[in-house]
Amino acid sequence: MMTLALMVTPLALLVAFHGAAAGIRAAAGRDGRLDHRRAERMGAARGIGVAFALVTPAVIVGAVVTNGERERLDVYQQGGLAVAVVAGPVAATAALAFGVALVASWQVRAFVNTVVIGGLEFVRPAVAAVAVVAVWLATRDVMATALFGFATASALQAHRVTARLWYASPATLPPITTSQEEPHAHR
Amino acid sequence: MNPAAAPSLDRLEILDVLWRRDPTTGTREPVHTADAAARLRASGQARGARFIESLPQTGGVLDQDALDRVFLGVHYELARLSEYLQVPQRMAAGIAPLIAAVREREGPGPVHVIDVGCGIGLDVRWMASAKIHGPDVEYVGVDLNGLLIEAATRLAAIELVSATFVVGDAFEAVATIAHPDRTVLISQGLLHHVGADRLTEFFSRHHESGLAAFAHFDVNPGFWSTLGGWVLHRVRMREPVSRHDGNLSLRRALDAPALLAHARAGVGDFYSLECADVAAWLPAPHRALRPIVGVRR
Repeated sequence: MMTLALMVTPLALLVAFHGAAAGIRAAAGRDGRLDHRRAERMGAARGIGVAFALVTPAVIVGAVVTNGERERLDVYQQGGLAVAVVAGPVAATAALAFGVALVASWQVRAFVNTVVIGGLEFVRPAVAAVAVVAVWLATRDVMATALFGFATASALQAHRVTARLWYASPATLPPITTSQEEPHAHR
Repeated sequence: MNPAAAPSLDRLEILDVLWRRDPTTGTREPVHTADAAARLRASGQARGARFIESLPQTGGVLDQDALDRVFLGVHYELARLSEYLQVPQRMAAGIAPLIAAVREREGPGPVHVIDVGCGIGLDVRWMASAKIHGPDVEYVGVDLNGLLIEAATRLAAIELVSATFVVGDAFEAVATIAHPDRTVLISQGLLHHVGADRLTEFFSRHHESGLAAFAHFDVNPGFWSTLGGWVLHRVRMREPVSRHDGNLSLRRALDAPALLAHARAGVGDFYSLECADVAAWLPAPHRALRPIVGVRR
């Protein structure tokens, strides 16, 4: 069980982080507002749900195929470690960039948003491909590589699915009423 | 550089052909699919023409709801991209000295910042919301597109932002400024839409109005802006029009010598002018947009 937890936890964190980022991206640019916090929180929550839903089939197949066999579990543990080694630093860099963007000057924020975060988003498919190759190199197991490949490819659809489900069209702005939102200061 | 000899960069973007209004009454007019597509094909934009032909239409006229969705979808995305690049902050920092110069020359009192071609008004809404230039600055956005102005007005009301938005042509807006001595005129991404053949006239309107100062921001053409723009449009823009028009915009932007030539031809020696392309070995997104600045002597 400890082995299983050690394998699953970092992968679950990766899926959650990827799903949140995908959901925030899906929610972005749909309403023209200055204050995006509510929209981003909602987008992140939806993205996380979608990401876990997308990888669930691969997880179920893996569980069925493993059937509790220790040897198979060890293979998948190696595969999971390979994915974490490739994708973990990328996710950590993105998380650090988000943090820097929150507190930095607008000049630094422009760089972080576009070059760092935008660049990481651009290379995401390539990182995913490298992670699958790493699984093969670590396990030399066709089934494990196929399952991790399937899970990775599924997770990459999180943005597209979230966008299609909730953000297919630009938001309809509410009519102007006497009761309005509180103003927000913007950096 | 002789502006009259400048090569034409007037390749049309998809949005350029999707909004038509009666020049006399200002009312919105229907867009005929064949006309719009033909204009794009004549401009060398066959892909854009195919996109227009794929839009819902009735009797050869493009469906207005579909057009509204296109305009709003593109401009909401564009606003978010501008935020990633911190464009409102960039513009606010760029015009702060101009506002200070107006205060110094004209004394206490309101300073007016007018953003022509404002779209959904992201930049002035941000400046007004942040009160970045102090309490005595009034922000106005002007755009030809009534749909975008309505969206800007609603957004300002929803978020309690003190900014005003009006429908109007950029040329007419410059000519009819109420308090030119206390007005700073700005724009973002407008100049390449004005077109090289009308830029000198546009700047001459600044001089005729007696405007205190202006700062028109546009893309600083170069390797990093082209590459960075392409990457950002790939990862951040989902609307096909955004991707098509965004990359075309980057190629339409004029360099500093061309802008200065048009501005000098328009304002003569009545304004001090400043515009410099930023050559950089490393990407500098905070300088991706740079202004041509004019201050009345």
